[in-house]
Parts: sequence; structure tokens; C-alpha cells
Amino acid sequence: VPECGSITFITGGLPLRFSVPEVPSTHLFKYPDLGIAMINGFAAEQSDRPAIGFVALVDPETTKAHEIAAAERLLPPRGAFIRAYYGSGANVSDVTSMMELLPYDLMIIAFIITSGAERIFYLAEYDLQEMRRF
Amino acid sequence: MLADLAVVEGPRFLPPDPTAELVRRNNAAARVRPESIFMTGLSDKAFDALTARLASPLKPLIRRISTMEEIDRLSNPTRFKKPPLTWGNDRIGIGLLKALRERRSIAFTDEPSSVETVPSKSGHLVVCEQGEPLAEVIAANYAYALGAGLCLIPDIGREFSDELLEVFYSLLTINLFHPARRYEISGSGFAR
Repeated sequence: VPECGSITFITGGLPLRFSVPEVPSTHLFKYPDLGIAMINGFAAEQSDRPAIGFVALVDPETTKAHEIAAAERLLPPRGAFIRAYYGSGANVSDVTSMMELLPYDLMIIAFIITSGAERIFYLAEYDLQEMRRF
Repeated sequence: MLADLAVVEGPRFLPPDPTAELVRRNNAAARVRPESIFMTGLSDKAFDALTARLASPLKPLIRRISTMEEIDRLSNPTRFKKPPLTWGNDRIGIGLLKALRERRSIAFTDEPSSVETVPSKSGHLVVCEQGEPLAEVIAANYAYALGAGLCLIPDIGREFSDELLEVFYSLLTINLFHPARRYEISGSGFAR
């Protein structure tokens, strides 16, 4: 891994990461539509395209979420509109409604542990992965 | 230009919404604003469906490639002054990126390819799981566009991958100390 570098992982399902030391990375599925995902990513980064406009933050406050704090600090000065769900508000029902009904360009989820409902959220996420495969 | 050559898989016309495959490709073609669109390896049905869907300004850019002679006519002879890179039929992503970097064509043989990685020029590294040859080709073009290195890792396998994900997602709900729920991850695979 190059020093101070970054990694793109392309796998069939496992969202691999590199740690010790931690290296910034992203993940793409090798099937299907890998080429389309890359084109969309390149296209979104062109200088004449609008940048990230709407950001959704989800933080159940069950753990320290440095990425949430960083997003809150860095994104608004750059013109991003932030919609945040904190504490008990970061529950499966409200977050799912937001994902289905509201537009967002970037979503950052610190971690979802909502007593009695984590299984439901897990199943929803799993179904999404199945859909991506087909 | 977004990339030297963006590669997109052909439509698969899978249920429940076969036309969605065409729409996604049409949208991607519009976003990339290409100078040319080459279609190759497509059935007549896929070619006709794609061309019928593409926006009007893109249609004159389409060129269908069916034979090796057509590929030879497309290539720029001044780009390939060096002798071709001899490469096997496996690990084609590495061979393609090496050839792109060295500005050489590729001559494929039945010999196994050498096990190597392509170093990064920009600090970015692309790690691609094997098992999907077209994914390797796409990854190589992606790495070339970014000046990234490329490293191939063995195919993890769908079954093992799903099982491992299942365990990770279940870590918070299962009793890890119950004998039937104890999992170990070893270098050779996944044992329960």
C-alpha cells in the first residue's frame, strides 16, 4: 500500500478494508454494473457538476462518532445541507423513511444499535445487497 | 474526458425490469460525454435495444466492433511501436494495465501469467477480487485513469463471503460464547 495512499476494493461482496495503519478506502461490487458505478463516480467529480448538496447523518450516540463530528464541522461551510438523526431519533423507522422518501447525496451512519429493532434493519440492508447483485 | 476508456457491461435483460438495464447504460453514456462509443460482444438484440434507447446526440458516436480486423483498424500504429506484451489468459487485469502503461499491445498465450502487481504512480491502489474477467478489465482501465496500482486477490467465493457477512452482521445479536455460535476465521477459510 502506498504511503499516505488510498485503496479501491473491488469484490464480490465483502466490503474489505485495510487497517494497522488505517488506509482510506472505498468499495465497489465487481458484479453487476461495475463499469456504470465507476462512470457515475467519475462524472459526479467533474468540476462542472454540482457537489454534494444534501447529507444525511445518522448517529444513535451509542459510540463516539468522530466521522459525524467531522462532517458537522466540515460540510456546512462548503454549502452542504445536513439532515441529522441523533440518539433516539436515529431509529430504524425514521431512518428508513428518510432513506425511502428524502433525497440525499451522501449518508454517514455511525452505527445502528436500536434495541429490539437491529434485526429488522439488518434484513433491510441485506435485501439491498441482494438487489444490487441482480 | 473522464477516463481514457470507460468499459461498461452489456445489458442482461434480467427480470423484474429488463428495461432498467438499458436506462442505466443510457444514463451512464450521457454522463460520460464520450467521443466514441464502441459496442462489442453484444447480441443483435442487445445492440438494437441499446441503440434504440440512446439519446439522439449519442447515436452517431456508436461503432459496432465484430472482428479482430476492425479492432486493428481502430488502433493507432504509432502508439504500439514496442513489441507486444506476452500474457496468459488469466490475471488479464494486470496484463492490461502493464500494456497500457508501457504503450504496448497484448499477445495472449496459453501459458499462465506471472503473479505480480502493478505499482501505483499516484498513491492510489486498486485491489480487485478475481473470478470476473470483465471486472479485471474495468479495474485495469480505472487504475490507468487514476495512475493507480493494481493488485489482484483470489476469488473469495460467494458462499464463504455470504457466510462471513452473515456472521459480521449477527455479531451483536448472537451469543458468541455458545458452542454452536462460535466462529473462527483462519487463513485457509472459515470454520464453525
